[in-house]
Amino acid sequence: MDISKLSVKEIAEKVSRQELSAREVVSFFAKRCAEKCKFNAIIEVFDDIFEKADEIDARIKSGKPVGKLAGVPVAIKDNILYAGKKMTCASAFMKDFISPYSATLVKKLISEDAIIFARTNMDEFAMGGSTENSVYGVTKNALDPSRVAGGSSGGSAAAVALGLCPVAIGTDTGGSIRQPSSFNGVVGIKPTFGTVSRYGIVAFASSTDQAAPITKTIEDNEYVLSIIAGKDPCDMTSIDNPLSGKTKSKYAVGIIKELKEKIASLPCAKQFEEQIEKIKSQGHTIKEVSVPHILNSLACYYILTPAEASSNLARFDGVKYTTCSKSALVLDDVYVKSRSEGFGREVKRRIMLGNFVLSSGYFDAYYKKGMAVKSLLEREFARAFEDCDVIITPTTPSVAFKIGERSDPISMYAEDLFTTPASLTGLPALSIPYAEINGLPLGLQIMGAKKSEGVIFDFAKKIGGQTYGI
Amino acid sequence: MDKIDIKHLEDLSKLKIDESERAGFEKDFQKIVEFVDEITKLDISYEEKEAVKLSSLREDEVTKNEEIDPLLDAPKKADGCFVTPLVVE
Repeated sequence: MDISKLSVKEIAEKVSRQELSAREVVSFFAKRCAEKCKFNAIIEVFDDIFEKADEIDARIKSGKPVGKLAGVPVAIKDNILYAGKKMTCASAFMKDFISPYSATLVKKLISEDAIIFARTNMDEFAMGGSTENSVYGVTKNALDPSRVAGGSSGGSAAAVALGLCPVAIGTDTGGSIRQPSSFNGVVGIKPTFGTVSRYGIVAFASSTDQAAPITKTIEDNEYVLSIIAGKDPCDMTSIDNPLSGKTKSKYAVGIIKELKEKIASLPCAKQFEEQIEKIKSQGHTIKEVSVPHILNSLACYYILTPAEASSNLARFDGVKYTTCSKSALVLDDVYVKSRSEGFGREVKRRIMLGNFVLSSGYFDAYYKKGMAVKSLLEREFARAFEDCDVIITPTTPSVAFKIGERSDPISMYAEDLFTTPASLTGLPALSIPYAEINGLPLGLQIMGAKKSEGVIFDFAKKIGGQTYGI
Repeated sequence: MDKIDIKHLEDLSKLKIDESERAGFEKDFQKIVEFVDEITKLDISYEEKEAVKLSSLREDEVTKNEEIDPLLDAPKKADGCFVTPLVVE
């Protein structure tokens, strides 16, 4: 049996019916991780997976009930805490960090008898769009190893596409689940802000950070998201989100007027147009909607999230988290030298950019204006969703680019054009593979109103995505 | 646009950019600020008044948390405390 072809639900069902043992499942995926290690998607397969699998198998044999993810190996991004295990944010600064507790989402997975299987590569502190900024080296695209896997959850997306695990958890601050999902031909969602507790996830930008599953199918994604979602007293921004919404047989599908010209100039213009025609031919209605300030989203995102990052990363001071510069003699040296030696270039850039937009003389012109654009965008999207059920855009402007091709930070940031609006406004957005250019997948982004994940998943299943993966 | 004072930002950020990387870093940083500069030119004065709000806080309730060792990952520790260089002469 090729276990990598089974859905998450199928694995759990087969394990609970003893048609497959949890040990067989983890052995299968551990072997695949070893075979595909050149892609560098997985940093570490945890050393207790067989022990955990045996515990689940023993429980089933003794007739005790098991959870909805019985024996399902789940990989987690290297910025999510799992008690007693290493977690480094792919940073030299955190190279020896051991998680003192588990993230709420990890506890929820374990309570359904999932096996926390491995940790996946990422851009350092989730800052980047290619998984090239990692202390562990670049993660390669699952479909073309000369190309990037995207980022920052590049390891999670590539791992799923390569069949190294049936589901991986990523985090998305401005597109970090959706863009690598698009690049590797898998399914990834950034849910409504607050849907998944951020407790136990290393904060980058607290007003947009969200964790969620990356899977091969839309059904798997919905299934796992429903397990990790929920209000958590440890995260005051978390919400109760039933992931529902009013499903219909035919949907009103919005296309954003202000993006038309931009999309027409992209390599994916033809495929996107064809997708619109396909949606129409299925009986859904296409509606042009207006989000007047959408093209300011990128600038707004690169003001607000560095501002939050500069505060969040102030805690890495050389005193509390594993790294302290050996040459530090006075307290200020402990801060400056530890941070300068421990952080990579992109992280330093974002901390300094955040301090720039928050500093005296620039706060009103940049940060305050950025906050104003964010609230404008929220209102403009709310208005747009009065006329349509979902809005579609390409997930990314291009297919996965070559490793090393985007050394200029601006060209890297431009990748986030379509993904940042949902992040800034807290709206849910799903990326599904829908077409390809020269064998490389393209993702379609489906956005919805707040808490309308049910509608997004239903529409996605109706239009059907292409399945990639190896 | 004025030249950005990188040294001041290094001080604010408790970071030091390596001299060998300084020229490239400054050039990239200037480009990024120019990239986000479009925001400053928008005329959205009404929204600006409304934009920066304080979050509402929940009631502070005492609950029992799991036991977590705050010193687990400290690079230097002694007698249940973090260790830093001497700060008072």
